[in-house]
Amino acid sequence: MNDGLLTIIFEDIYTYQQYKNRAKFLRETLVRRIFGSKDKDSDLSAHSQGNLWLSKNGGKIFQQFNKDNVYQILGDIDTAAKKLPVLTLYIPADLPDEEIDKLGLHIRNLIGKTILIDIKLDPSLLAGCALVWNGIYKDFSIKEAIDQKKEEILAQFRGFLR
Amino acid sequence: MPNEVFLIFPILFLAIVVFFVTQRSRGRRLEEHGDKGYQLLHQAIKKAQAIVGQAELEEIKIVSSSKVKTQKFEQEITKDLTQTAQLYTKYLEDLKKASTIAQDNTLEAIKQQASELFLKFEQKLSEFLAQTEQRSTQSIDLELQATRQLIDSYKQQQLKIIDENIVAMLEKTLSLVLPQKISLQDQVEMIYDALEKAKQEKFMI
Repeated sequence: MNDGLLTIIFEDIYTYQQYKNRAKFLRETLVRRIFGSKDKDSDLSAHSQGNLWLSKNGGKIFQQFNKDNVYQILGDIDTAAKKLPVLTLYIPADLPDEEIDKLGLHIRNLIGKTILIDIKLDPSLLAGCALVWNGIYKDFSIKEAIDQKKEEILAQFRGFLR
Repeated sequence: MPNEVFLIFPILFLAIVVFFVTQRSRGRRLEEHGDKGYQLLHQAIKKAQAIVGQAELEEIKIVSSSKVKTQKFEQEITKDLTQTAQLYTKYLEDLKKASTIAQDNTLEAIKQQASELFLKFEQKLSEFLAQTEQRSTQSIDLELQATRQLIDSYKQQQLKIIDENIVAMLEKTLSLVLPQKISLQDQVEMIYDALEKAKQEKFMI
């Protein structure tokens, strides 16, 4: 398995859940194609995004798989996916899939390598986000900004009360 | 045994003869004694009648003398009683006068004492009311002071609690308000700003 295959697989997916969906789609496609039925793509018609991705990259992908190495390579891809660095984001509100994709792309461009993002909800953050990277948690939300300005805020309130 | 039986009959015969002799002699003595008795009795009766006559004479004498004495005694008694009654009447009149005077004096003294008593009572009551008013005022002042201190202390405590929790209150308020006021686009922008800041701090190397 080469890094080019990984790059193709992860080119437009950013979360581990998206990867699992894609891996499942790829496995089913390859099994049908290599071992499968006469109508190779009939059951995959519902996977529009997967089909779109396959239509774009199918040639480069299929040439690397045969009946002897398909499971091996798929296993290697799974192992490699688990080793990818993960950036955990704590956000205060749920985002639609399109925004998650944009966010994922933006983060990859920021960091400059293939990573996965893990999004968790934390409404107490109010706005902004908190990040976990390499086991370190850092809060970049408005809640943290309020906590840092606590004394100033208290002084302002005391000015109102007295 | 038969000897004894034969002896009893003569003895009995002798006893009967003696008895009849004795009875006969007794009878003669009884007649003699009876005559003497009647004589004695007659003498006793005469003497008794003499004594009774004498007693009646003495009685008459005594009764007449006692009547005189009684009359005299009655006169003296009447005179004494009259004097005593006069004296007693006079005494009662004097007593009545003295009683009236004493009664008047007593009434006067009672009035005087009652007036003094009322006057003292009034003075004491005024003093007591003044003292009570003063004590009540002091007590109320102390209560007010204590209550003010309590209020101040409570206020300080509440302000302290507010100071301790004001940031939490602010965050809670914002958590209730912001989700309704911040749009999705603003949320996304703030996430991007946070990522930019993380990059500047070189958090994700």
